[in-house]
Amino acid sequence: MSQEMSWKIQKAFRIAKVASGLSLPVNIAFVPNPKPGKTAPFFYVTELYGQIKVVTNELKVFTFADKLLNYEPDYKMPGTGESGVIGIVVHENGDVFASMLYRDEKAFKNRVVKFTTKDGLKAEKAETILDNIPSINAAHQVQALTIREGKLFVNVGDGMIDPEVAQNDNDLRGKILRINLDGSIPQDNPNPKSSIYAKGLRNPFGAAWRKSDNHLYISDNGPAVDDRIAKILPGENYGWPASMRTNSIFVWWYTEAPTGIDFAENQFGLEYKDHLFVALFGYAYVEGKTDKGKKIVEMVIDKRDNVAYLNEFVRYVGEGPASVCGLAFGPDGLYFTDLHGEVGMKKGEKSGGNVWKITKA
Amino acid sequence: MAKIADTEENLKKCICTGCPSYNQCMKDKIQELFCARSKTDCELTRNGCLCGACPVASENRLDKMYYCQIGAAE
Repeated sequence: MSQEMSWKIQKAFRIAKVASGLSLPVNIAFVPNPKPGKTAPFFYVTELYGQIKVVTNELKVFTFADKLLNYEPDYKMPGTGESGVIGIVVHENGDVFASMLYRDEKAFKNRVVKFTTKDGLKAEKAETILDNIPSINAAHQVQALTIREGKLFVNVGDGMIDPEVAQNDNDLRGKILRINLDGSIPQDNPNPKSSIYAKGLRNPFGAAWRKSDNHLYISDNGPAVDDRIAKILPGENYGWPASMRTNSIFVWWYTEAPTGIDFAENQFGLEYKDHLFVALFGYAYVEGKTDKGKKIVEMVIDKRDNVAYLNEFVRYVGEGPASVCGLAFGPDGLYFTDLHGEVGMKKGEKSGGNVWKITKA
Repeated sequence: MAKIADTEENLKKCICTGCPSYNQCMKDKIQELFCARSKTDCELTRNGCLCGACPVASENRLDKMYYCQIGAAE
């Protein structure tokens, strides 16, 4: 079976591999205003265990930054191997921001790093703009990054060990943060002395801005039940750890592990405009078909924030450990990463992770 | 009576050994599949729980966490 055949998609769409040989590719960030020319950067991909790759307009892959982790990952999935370099976003000026874990003596912590570059193909300077946030060497670390109107929004997991921190206004875990691009706190935040924009979250892996209402939406992973999608409002409390349902607009009681999310613009035509596409990763590592995850679903969210329509869009039907992890709309289609790819990754071995593109036929 | 069968099949699906709370004492005593067997007798520090992400828990609709501490599901 060809790898394309491993993905079941609707008849009106096509799937193609656009980058391969990646090492645990997680999230994708497109260059906001890509320059013309074959060698100009088109999008960036985080690789979990310490690299950022850049893919050019002609789909050649280069290492943008590497050796980003100051510890040795242990490759245990699920578990202590699920953390590393996760979130990524590109500013209009070409600066690249990435979220990641680091080890400070014996403790794991979260940080956000800004990379500056001249040609977009190689990072020349790395500057930590946010750090010293306690974390864990597992899921629930710092996650998605987005930029809106000159501010950086940072999804931060609760760190797993003490969920109550999500309600603590003096702790940055379990929050959406809003900061300036140099890491300072904007004076127009809900609390001008705090970077906290919203609280009460557990493991908010994905984030995307919806142009039609100019709001941030996130995916958040529940414990044994209740994964959710939430619309983020400034100063709002999303309930965790008392509840994963507070202020949510959609909940999966049977958890599917939602990861990347993004809204369609014109890539699939007017019929799909403003629809939310959600990656459901499922178990951290399972070969072949499984009862949860390994798919992308399409959602229609109406003006009253009700999910009016939910439809399975793509499903993995191959025999490997691939699933859908990061997801982002580019100018010509929906791109996603498959993390483990068809062959998976073990310590000392190369991964066969890929980036795929779905287009309307 | 425990709700989860202590079978080779479930043991293969068990993810306890990758959990941040799984420690050397549990490893030395070859303890796992706590949701089917019993809680650990090792000293336990709550460093996070993976039960919600476990196929055994999911397939059996378990909705609690830290079975290594609370004992087998009933």
